[in-house]
Amino acid sequence: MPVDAYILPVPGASTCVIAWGDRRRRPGETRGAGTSSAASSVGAVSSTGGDDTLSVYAPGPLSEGELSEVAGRYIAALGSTLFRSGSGGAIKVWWWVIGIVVLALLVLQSSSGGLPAVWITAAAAFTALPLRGSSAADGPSGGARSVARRQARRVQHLTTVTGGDAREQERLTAIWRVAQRQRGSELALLRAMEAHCAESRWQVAAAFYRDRISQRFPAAEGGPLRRLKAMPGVASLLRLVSHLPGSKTPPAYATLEMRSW
Amino acid sequence: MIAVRVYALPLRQGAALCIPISGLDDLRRTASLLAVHPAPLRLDILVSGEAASKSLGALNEQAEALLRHAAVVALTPDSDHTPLPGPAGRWLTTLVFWGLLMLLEAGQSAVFIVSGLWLAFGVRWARGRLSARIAAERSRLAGAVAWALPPAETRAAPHAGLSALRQVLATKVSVSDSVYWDLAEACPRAGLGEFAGFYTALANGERPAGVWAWLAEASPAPGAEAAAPDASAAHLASVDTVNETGAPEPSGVHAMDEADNSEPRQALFAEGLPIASEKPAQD
Repeated sequence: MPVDAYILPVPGASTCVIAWGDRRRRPGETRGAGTSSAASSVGAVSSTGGDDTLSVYAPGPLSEGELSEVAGRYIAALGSTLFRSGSGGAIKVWWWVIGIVVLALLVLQSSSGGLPAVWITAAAAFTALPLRGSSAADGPSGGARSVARRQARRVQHLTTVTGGDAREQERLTAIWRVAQRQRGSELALLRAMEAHCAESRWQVAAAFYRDRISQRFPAAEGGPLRRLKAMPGVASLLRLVSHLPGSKTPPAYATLEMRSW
Repeated sequence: MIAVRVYALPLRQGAALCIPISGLDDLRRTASLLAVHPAPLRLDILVSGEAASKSLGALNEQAEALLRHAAVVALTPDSDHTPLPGPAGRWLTTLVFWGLLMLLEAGQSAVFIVSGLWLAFGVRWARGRLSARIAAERSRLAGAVAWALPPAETRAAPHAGLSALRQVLATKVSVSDSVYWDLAEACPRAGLGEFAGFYTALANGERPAGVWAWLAEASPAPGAEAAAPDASAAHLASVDTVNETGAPEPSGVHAMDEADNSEPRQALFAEGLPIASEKPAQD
């Protein structure tokens, strides 16, 4: 499955966004048409007609070392997803089930003692649940995991090339133009670029800028609803809901800090 | 082939082979993939453009040794400091006592017996099982990396960011330790922000944190002049690891737990590194 990576502008530098969870195939696009020197040097064995290609779109020429970095980060992202899906999940599920049963039993039993007794026993049983650390709700959704599994099977044949799709390159050029035109604070710049990507229906780039804003400027993302969503318990619950079949999930991507252009 | 990378950072004289913290994370994640889909490794030594034209020579062996060491560091249980889920420390002890008291006071109440057993023994048991499972997974990952090492291929790949750092060095008329401030400043713009701390430590005359090895050409190791090894040849002078706080650990060899003696991890060590004996003395 072909994968695209884009070097996007961020204030003072650039970031490579590897859209590995993008399951859509755009009709009529040409794959594997990148710079051959890059392909031969970074790719390993390959060539299966562009299907095992990681195409990196950049505002200028990339060195072999940078392509190697991008490929490495992509492989690491796939590995991370595979590891998450198999790290003691069954034990955690049983822990949750037994813990909640015990919590319910204790609350029922202590209800005769009044609210203070219910509160204190519920607090004890609740804190015995596996709340801390990674949970089954962390990480990408089930759909993204199955994509990762599929891609991981063929990753040793991966070839990394500089992107050759004219439409993608045009989209990238446009965002860099927006970044150059924009003046003002870092937040204003990020917001302008998020808006531009959302307008042009570039989901992965819009998601990247949105996430970047919420990481760099958590206060600017104000509003009680957003703050509520950011609370650890609520965030876990929302992530769990997002894993349900049919729910709309943001595209999975990996990032890598790059040089300024 | 799956590529893993080591950076050859330019120094006043010589270079430092370095694997940053994010590189260790990537190595751990790559091991997860190797455990599922075994594949040969290719070691990419990222160098400045000028250095790429030179023969890799002794660099090969040293980069491989550094990679092996980094794999041990990355795959040691608890190396990523992810806390186990559930209660821990004093609160866990409190819950255990609570459970024991419940059992003592349970009388004929089945609910208190079940809840008491869960709090007194069940939670600790679940934590233990989870911890054992994670350790077993790490061991499996270490086995996958041990299988893939040494790399089937090693090559030098020119890196634009490293070339930019090399240019910073080249523009200085008189090169002293102060040039490391300039390099630290140039790192973020070169896309190598993680190495800013490395150069800052050198500028301060301190030993940088991270997994790195000094590759001398004709000068003593930075920050270790007092105990400089044979400087006439390329030399693996120092491999440091980092602890949780990012500060260098006192010993060059990463400490391992007793529970860390699994076969695959020993296999990683088997062809070991000439680290401890060659480490320059610390001030």
